Parts: sequence; structure tokens; C-alpha cells
Amino acid sequence: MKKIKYIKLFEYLRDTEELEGMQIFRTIFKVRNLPNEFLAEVEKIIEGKECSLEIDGISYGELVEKDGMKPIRAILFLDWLRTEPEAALAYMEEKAYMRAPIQPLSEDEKEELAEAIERLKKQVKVQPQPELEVDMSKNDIVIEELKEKCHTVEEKSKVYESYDRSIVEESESI
Amino acid sequence: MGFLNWIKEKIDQGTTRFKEALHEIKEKARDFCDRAATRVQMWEEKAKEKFNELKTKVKEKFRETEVRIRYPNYRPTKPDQDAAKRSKTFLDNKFSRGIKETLRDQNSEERLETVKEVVHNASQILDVKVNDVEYYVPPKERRNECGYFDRTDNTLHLNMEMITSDHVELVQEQIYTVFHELMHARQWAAVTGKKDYGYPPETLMEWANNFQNYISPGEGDREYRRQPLERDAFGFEAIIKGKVTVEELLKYNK
Repeated sequence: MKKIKYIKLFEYLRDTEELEGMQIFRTIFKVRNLPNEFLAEVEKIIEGKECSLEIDGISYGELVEKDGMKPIRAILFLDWLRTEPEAALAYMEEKAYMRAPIQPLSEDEKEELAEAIERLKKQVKVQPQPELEVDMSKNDIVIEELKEKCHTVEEKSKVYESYDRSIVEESESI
Repeated sequence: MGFLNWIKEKIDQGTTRFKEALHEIKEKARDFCDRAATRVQMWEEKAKEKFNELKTKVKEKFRETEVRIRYPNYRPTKPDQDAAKRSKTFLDNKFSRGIKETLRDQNSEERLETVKEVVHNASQILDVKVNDVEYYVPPKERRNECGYFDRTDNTLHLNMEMITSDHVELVQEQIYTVFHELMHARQWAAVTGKKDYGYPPETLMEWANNFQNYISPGEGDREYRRQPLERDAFGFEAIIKGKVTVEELLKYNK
């Protein structure tokens, strides 16, 4: 997808799928790594066209209509179904998709959590690191030069920040 | 006469020798066949034994693969092992006929009473504070949602439509939702130090980081399901559902 499409995707995720801040960047990061046939379908969605994607007998349409998934979530699920069919189907079987997410943290809770993390840092010898995603995108436009540096979570968040800036700059230029 | 007797005697001797030889041959043949048959039987048993061993190994390998696919990286900590055991015992006793079977025969009021009782017991087992249970009718776009725990007032919210549904599968799911959501309440209480359940600091740190960077299902179901807070809550749920045992999880998820 061209950069302009990512800007549209950003707006789409923010306005239609009601994602916020980091959630949007994490989702864009995942979308960027989708195969071309999936990217084409993402383009169709943000342009308001019908998506015809189907994997292993499961269609985009039924995920949206019957399982209540938002469009981009459905596309990402189909990609999971393509790459790890057993895990994806087990997830649906255990009705995990029906669980509500944990409520976002309030400002007070964020502070409380930050204090707890400081306290825990003193107790933990080795800090657990979240599993890093491997960037497989072939046609990256915006953060190509930073991709190589994306080794730690901290660096990754810097990448997101720079990506954020580049999107804003692009939006302004448009 | 003497000659004839001699002839007869010789014939008798010959016949006897022949009979003896025949008997000997038969004996040897029988012995050979017995040994051959014993060997055949032995080989059959050996092969059967080996294939049964293979079947067990394949079955175990299959189970290992299944557990690792369904519950990746989930190794229940000691506090969760104990809580899961107690929760499962409670559910097995409370629903001795089976959860679905019990709920199927209940009307809406009885189901609400049952859920209330489950919440009361689950909050005691998991040692979390639940001030109230609220039943709500979600908006259309959240119809599939089972429920959630509100940390601000320690209230458990459950989808009313599912509890009163004719589809007993969905009603049963609400029983497990209670435990799932209260597990999140327990995780929060543990991380913030409100309660000490005995979790190792590494687990608490992992959860704390995850609370800071929580991934909602809208960002992708794969990542949502595999993040530490959900991995542990869904894993816990699987144990009390009887889908997997603590032993299997510890054995296969090394």
C-alpha cells in the first residue's frame, strides 16, 4: 500500500474501528506485514468497497456479520487462519473472541501501575521481554530505514513515534 | 510254518519300526510346529506391543502438539494451580449433573440465582473483592460480548441476554466468564500489591507490563489471546473446563 493509504487506514482505524493511539500503530504495523492479496482487501475496506476474502471456507463477511468482528480485525483473523489454522480455530472454538477486553486504565491506575512496576523492578532479576514481531513487509515506505534497528521494545516504540510524526507530516502536506 | 512265522515276525518288526519312525517324525513335526507357532505368536505379540507403544507415543505427541497450539507458553504458577483445583472442585460439586444439564432445566430467575452463587464462591476461591454483579444488555455491536469486570467499583458485569438464552452453551459460557473476569481482577490486585497471592515477581512484572500495553481483540485476535494476562486467564479457564490438566501444561509447555 502506498503511504497515502496508510494515512487513510490510520483515520479508518481511529474513526471507524474506534482504536486509539498505540493501538492504531500496532494494528498498522500488523497490516503492513500482510501478504499483497490481503493488503488489496484492506484497501477495498478503507475505500468502502466489498471485501471478498475467504480462507479455508471462512469468509470475511461471516466474521463481520456473524461473529461481530470489525473489518480490519476480521482481515487479521483471516491471516491468522492462513498461517496457523489450528490455533485460530481453537481460539474461536474456546469462544475467546466473545470476551470483552480489560477496561482501559484510568489516570490514577496508570500512576498506581507505574509505582508497582518500579517496586517490582527491584525484585525481578531478569526483566521479561514481550515476544517481538518480525517485520516481514516487503514494500515498506515510511520506516524502511528504521526497520533494522527494531530490536528492542523501546526502539520499536521509537519507530512508532517516528512513524506517527511522518504520518502527521504527510497529512499536513496533503 | 516256521518260515511263515519268521516272515510274520519280520513284518511285525518292520511295522513296529515304521510306526515308531512315523511317531518320531510326527513328534518332531509337532515339536517343530509348536515351536514355529510359538514364534509366530511371539512375533505377533512383539509387533502388537511395538505398535501399541508407537500408538501411545503418537497419541502423546499429538496431545503435546494440541496443548502447545491451544495453550501456547502457558505454565500455571503455583497459586493458579491451587486456585484452579479449588475452582474445578467447586464446579464439579455444584454442577454434579454437568453445567449445561443443570442450567437447561432452570428458568431465568433460577439461572440468575445460580450465577450469583457462582460469583460468590468464585470470589472467595480467587480471593477477590466483588461488590456487585450487574446484568446488562449490550448494544448491537457488542452483542457477542460475555461480560467484563469494572475495577473502579469492583463490579462484575454479565451479558443478560446470554444468561437467559435458550442456547445453554452460551449460558454455560457465562459461568466460565465469571472465573475469567475474576482472574483479571486477581491479576490487577496482585500486580498493584493489594493482595499477596504468592505469585513470583517475574509473573507480576510480566502482567504489569501487559497492563501497560494491553492488546484489545480489535487489534488482532492472535496477539490478544497470546498476551500474558489473557494467556493466563484463558489457560486457567481451560483447566477448570477440564480441557487440559496442570500436569499436561507443565509437561508440554517447557
